[in-house]
Amino acid sequence: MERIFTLEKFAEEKGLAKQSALNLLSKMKKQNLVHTSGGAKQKRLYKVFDWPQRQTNGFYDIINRYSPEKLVPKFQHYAYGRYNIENAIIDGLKLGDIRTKEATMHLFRHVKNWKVLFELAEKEKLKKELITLHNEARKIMRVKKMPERYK
Amino acid sequence: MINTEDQEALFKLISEYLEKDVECTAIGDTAMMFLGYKTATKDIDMVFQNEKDRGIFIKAIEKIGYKERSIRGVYDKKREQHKGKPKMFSRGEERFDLFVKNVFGVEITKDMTQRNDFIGKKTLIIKILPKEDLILLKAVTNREKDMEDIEAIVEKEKSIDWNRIVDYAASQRNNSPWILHDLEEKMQLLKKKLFIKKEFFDKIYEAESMH
Repeated sequence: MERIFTLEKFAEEKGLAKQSALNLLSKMKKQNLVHTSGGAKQKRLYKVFDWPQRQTNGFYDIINRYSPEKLVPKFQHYAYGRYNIENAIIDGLKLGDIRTKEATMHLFRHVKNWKVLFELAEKEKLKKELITLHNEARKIMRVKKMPERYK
Repeated sequence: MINTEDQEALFKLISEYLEKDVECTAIGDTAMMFLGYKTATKDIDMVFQNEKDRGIFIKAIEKIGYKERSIRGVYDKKREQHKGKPKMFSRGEERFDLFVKNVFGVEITKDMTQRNDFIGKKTLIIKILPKEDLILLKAVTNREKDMEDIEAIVEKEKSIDWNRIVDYAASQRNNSPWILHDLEEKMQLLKKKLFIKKEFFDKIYEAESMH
């Protein structure tokens, strides 16, 4: 089970001073018992778990970071190794539902390496779908142009 | 024994030795570790979609020093003779139990609650089933300590979809004749620790009576 706290509420619940609560949260974070969100302009929230939960870093994290169209994760996705925007675009195509594809379109604005993207697409036999999605994206938003040699 | 961090490092290493990208599903203790229910295991249970993928994975672990061994003594006689039995590879205390398509006749669902990508020379994608499916598969494999693991899951998770478990078991009855019996046995033991509605037991008896 998980519960969400502000720092003040957590300190109150545990009967601790603010700094002590912060120290405890820091230790718990290292044990994957706490995930944070917000900070800076937004009030920081602490999600506290009963048992260790790793923070995801896969497809849905990339989509929700770069796309204004957010997605509710259908599964937890963890990537060990380099998992970039290019990998996420291919996974978006593989997942295939309309909402996911619309969110994936926004990733074209952040592609760093078209060569890697096309190599992944070739491997997964999704080159045609990739080009189609990119063309659709260009109709409705400003995205990076695809180099001619890949079309 | 292998802990969570070492397991992750091992999979990352395996991905460096794969000749091709491989997708598989982790079950048992391995899945429990990915989901945070457990922190260590002696055996790593995985299900592949086909013999080819299992073969590619086997080649990779053999390069790391794992050798094939007999399943005798680990599973009971009826499972030893089942065509859905796994291939076993071990190195010291750790062991891989590698199944293809089904676990002693119980087909793996396509549902996924978690996906882990180990990106090395090639990519090893390990999917994790929902907890209800893990419970059923634990009930079926029937090894020592499987009951303890089932208890660990139900104690941590407040809501278990017993309907899903019973329906899944009933759907697999033709492939695995003892599945409902094994499940009912485990549920009877669990009843001592938590409340399980009588309707789920009735559903099992009804499903069994239809065969």
